[in-house]
Amino acid sequence: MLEIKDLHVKVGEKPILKGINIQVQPGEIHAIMGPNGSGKSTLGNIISGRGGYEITDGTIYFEGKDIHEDLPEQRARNGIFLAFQYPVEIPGVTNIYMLKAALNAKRRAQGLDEIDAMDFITLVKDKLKALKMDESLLYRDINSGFSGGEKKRNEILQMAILEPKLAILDETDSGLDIDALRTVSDGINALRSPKRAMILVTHYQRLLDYIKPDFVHVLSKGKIIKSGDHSLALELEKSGYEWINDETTQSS
Amino acid sequence: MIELASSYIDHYKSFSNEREETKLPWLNNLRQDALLQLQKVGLPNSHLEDWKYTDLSILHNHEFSLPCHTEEPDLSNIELLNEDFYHIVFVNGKLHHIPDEINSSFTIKPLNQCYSSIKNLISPITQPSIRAINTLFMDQGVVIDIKEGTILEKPIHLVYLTTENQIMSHLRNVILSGKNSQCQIIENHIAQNNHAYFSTVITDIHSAENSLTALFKVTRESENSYHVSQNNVIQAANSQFDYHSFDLSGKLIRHDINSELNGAGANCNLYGLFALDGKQHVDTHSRVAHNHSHTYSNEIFKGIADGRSKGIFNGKVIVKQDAQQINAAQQSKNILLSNRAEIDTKPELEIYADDVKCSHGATVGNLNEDSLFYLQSRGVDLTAAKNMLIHGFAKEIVNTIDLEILRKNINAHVVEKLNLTGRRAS
Ligand SMILES: Nc1ncnc2c1ncn2[C@@H]1O[C@H](COP(=O)(O)OP(=O)(O)OP(=O)(O)O)[C@@H](O)[C@H]1O
Ligand SMILES: [Mg+2]
Repeated sequence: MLEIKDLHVKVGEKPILKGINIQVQPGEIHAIMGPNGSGKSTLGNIISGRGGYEITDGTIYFEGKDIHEDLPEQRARNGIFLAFQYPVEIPGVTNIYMLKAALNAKRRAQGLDEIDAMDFITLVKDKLKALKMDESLLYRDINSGFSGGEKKRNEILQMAILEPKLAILDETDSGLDIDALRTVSDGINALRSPKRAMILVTHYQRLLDYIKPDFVHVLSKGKIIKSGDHSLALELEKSGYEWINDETTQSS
Repeated sequence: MIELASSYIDHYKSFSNEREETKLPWLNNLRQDALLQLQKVGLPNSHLEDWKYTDLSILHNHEFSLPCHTEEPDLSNIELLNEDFYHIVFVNGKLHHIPDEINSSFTIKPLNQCYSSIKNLISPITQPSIRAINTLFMDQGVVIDIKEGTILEKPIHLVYLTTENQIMSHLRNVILSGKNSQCQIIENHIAQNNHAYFSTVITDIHSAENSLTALFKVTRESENSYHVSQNNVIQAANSQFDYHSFDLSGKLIRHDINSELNGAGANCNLYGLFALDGKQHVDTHSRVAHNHSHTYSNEIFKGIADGRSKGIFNGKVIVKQDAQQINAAQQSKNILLSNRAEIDTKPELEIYADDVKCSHGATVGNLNEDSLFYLQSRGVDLTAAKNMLIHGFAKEIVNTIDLEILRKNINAHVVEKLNLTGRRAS
């Protein structure tokens, strides 16, 4: 579904990603862990098509197609979703307005009619309830004045409505209290399907207790320095990133 | 003597010949003062600090004349005229329609029929401003007198329609908001063609104790027009004045809003939005004078400039000595949609007291990249994303209108003006 080969990315003169290789198949859950500043969010941004970066080498294929020239909105409509580490506050635009515009943009791209207003409300309220979100958040401006936890839930709400094929969740767990973590995890798990893949960027094993990944990758200084299964996350929790660094330096 | 203003002075001679005002020497004197100032300094120009960005001396070269006769105008397409409001219609600067005698709780009368009753309210010409030329040609306009305790159940709607080319009009209105009274006044400035014309409109408002006056001003003049307005508000204790201004078209627009807060509890809320493109030029100067303790002001002005347009906001707040417990807030937020557009915004504070809460902020920026990417990453295309952000930005001001019919009407115009087409969005 997603195939990244030897991806090199620069911002200005600064290399940030230095040869990323990753393959994600439908149904899989990949966790990406790694120290602050290692390039995790950059990777998510690049996959979603954010401007301001220079791809100096490598390829990104989504569903067998080279997407490096696709606009962010095209990628979104084709099924890529990014839950932001820091969801943006947009005063003056209500949550529900954006949700509807986003869903209809996707439906139009698929050749479908715009969603019926009543069906839309029913759909949104359903998802809202599952995420234990207050209905009033729908009519507030996007993320404006939302608490940290409300913002993260709002990202998952958008995901639930847009039903992407590939979801990249960038630290969706950080800043959540214990109950919220469970609710959000349930929300994410509810979307798990053999056709849908997810990339979870996280610093904590805790999330991975709820959503068990098939693969865990460690990103450090713009490179994936180790990949493994769920047990790698447990190891990291215990020993930190230092032991991998030691291990990699020793083996090289 | 400024030779360039001479065409206006010639027009004045024929204007005054037609008038029989010898019965009103005070008015003649006033006009003489105005004439002197016009001869001395001409129209306000960039030599004056307050007119730094907006130089009306360019109008010295225009041959605008007073309209002589006017054909029966077509009012069928004028918006809001079907609403259940009190309508006053000016066509080419001449009073065309005024509501019939309504009742005794408030009156609307042509200005030139009640000079003597407002004699003391017409202030003399001091500083150079458009007051000179407006006073010189003062004749048309209305006096709205809202008697003590009257709460107007319907808004008063003033339509200023221009249909003729190369004309000038100088209107003067006086609004008397009596004690404990409440009213809403809408000013709609519109044109039917792309004519060139020059209009000045001065509306002086006298807010008595505990009165509430809301003024909504929509400027949708022709693309070749010059529109200069002045609102002077004298506010007694506990009076409230709300000002909502929307500038959507016109070649050059200049507004001056002056509020004198003269009694405890007096407060004013000033809101403005301009949306410019092409080579439009809009300049708003607000001046709020806190002359008394316990007075409050709140200002939010927003601007959006595209093309090669230019927007200016200058907000002056004056707190007099010994005026304590003052609260004055001012915000000016602006978005540039093109790198050839320009916005100048400046707060000016003159504070001579110490127990004063005064906040101000001014920003000029582009559309936020993070917000655009956020929306795009949800599948919204770039043009739609830009439109969402721009409308969202404007909404704060549109939503200050609590009169629903009007809010919808203005919102439709704002949305229409701001919608980026594929060409402009790129
Ligand atoms: N636009 C930019 N300009 C300059 N440097 C940038 C830019 N974007 C990212 N970087 C740098 O690239 C590096 C990787 O950033 P990124 O946000 O991808 O890290 P991260 O792994 O997500 O970190 P964290 O765990 O703290 O979220 C950082 O050093 C960051 O400062
Ligand atoms: Mg990050």
